[in-house]
Amino acid sequence: MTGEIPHGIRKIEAFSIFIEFMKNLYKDRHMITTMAIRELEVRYIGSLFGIFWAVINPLSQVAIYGIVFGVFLKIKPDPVFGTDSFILYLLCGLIPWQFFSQAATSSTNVIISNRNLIKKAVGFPSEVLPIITIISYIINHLIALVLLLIILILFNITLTPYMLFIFLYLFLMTVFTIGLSWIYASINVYMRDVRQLIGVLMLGWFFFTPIFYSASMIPPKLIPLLRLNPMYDVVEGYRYVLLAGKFPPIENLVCLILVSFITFGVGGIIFRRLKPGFAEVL
Amino acid sequence: MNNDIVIRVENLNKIYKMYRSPSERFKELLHPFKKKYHQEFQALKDINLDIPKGTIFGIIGQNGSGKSTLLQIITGIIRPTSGTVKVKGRISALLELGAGFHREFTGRENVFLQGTLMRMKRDEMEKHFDEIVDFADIGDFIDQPVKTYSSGMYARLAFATAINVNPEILIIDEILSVGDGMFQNRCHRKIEEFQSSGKTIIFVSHSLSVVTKICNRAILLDRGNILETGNPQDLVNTYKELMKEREKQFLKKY
Repeated sequence: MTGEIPHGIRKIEAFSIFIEFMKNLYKDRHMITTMAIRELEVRYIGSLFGIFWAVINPLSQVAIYGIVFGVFLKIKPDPVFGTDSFILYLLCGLIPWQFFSQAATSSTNVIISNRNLIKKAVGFPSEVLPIITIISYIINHLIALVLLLIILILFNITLTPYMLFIFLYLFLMTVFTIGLSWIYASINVYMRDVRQLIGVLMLGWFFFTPIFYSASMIPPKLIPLLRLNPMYDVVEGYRYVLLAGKFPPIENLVCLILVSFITFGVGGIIFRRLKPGFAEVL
Repeated sequence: MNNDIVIRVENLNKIYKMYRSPSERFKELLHPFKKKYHQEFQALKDINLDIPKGTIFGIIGQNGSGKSTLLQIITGIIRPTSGTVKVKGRISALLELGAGFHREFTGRENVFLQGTLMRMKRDEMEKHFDEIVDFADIGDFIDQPVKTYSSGMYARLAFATAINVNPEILIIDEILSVGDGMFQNRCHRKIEEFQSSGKTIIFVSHSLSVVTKICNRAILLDRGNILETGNPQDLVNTYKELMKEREKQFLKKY
């Protein structure tokens, strides 16, 4: 790698990778949807509660964090979101977080666990494998969103059309997660430590995103830096559109779009570089 | 590339780098003076090969002679160390008793998966599906996960799928050795049908009688080199001689 790649060129390459990628995705849509549904089946097939874990999981986490941070530590939600309820504040942050953390963690091992396909199937598009995992978690997330909607209604939050922007945030979060998982999954093939590192990384990441605490508790000078964490923007975005019924500050979307697409582009480049060696190393 | 040649291999070399551990691989990447941390094993030495269209091309050789490596490079699963491979047409491959089937998926799902990989449209695939199921003769197991199949069933389905997705080139590496006589005969007949429609087959086997029976050209690989090219019967004789020599030398030690 020589020198600095100018910001503008990085963005153009990221965008063209994205277009090419969307075309391939569309072509393979049957295979992808079948494999994603199959992954969901495999995940819940032995379990008693099955797909309800998509709901039980966030609820139980909210209960735990709600008690510890809401009741013991008496943390108050950021007033900018227009609600006093710590539970709602927490839920709106926890649910997108769970999607991100589960999707990124699970997709780390996806190339290794599909070694048969990589080594035997001619022309198998391995870059699609993390996507399949991520799609299966999107389905989980959509179920959790239904739960969230029900709870919002129960708490008398007014439904506004701004809530539809959730899907924009979901889309951007997905783009980011795909880019990230390409990086982890491809490096993991060569260096299995990555899998362990992810666990540690996610833990730290969770604490640096204002999920169980309010951003107003952070020294204001540090906020622009924290905005580079896309999950900061996602969580803030979810809270703005669901709780406050309005649009977040423009820096929120600008940072999120930039970081997501750059990660997507860089991830794509790294994956492509490492992909030809997979069959040999596995 | 000449109209007649579907696969052209030029000056192909493959050296495997063997590291004692992943950290050795990284030490090598980072070392400022490019110090080597691996052992080298040359699997293929300067291979040159032209496979004409419509041939049933055999590759024979001892275990470790480089047959599977050569196939993996031709199919693009592994990169060569140097040299080029040019391929005209889609390849469907049955490599080393596997077929790129996903173990958790059912036979049906795997057949369609292979169809997608061969860029076939779903309705095209549906037309072929019944033919595949008939040939494979596995009954209701088609809707069971492939991990429940016996090796014979797996081989039958893999072969049926590979040959039916209409590739220009079919590569068969040892998979037929798992089948019984009836299966082998059915496969041979299908292979000949396939060839008469102008398609090419690369056939790797330890079963020398089968190679002489169905192949019209062959190469003998030994320790990464092509020892001989040409008529399968001649090659098989050379191979048998070579084996006799080797065995004599082996026994001399004891």
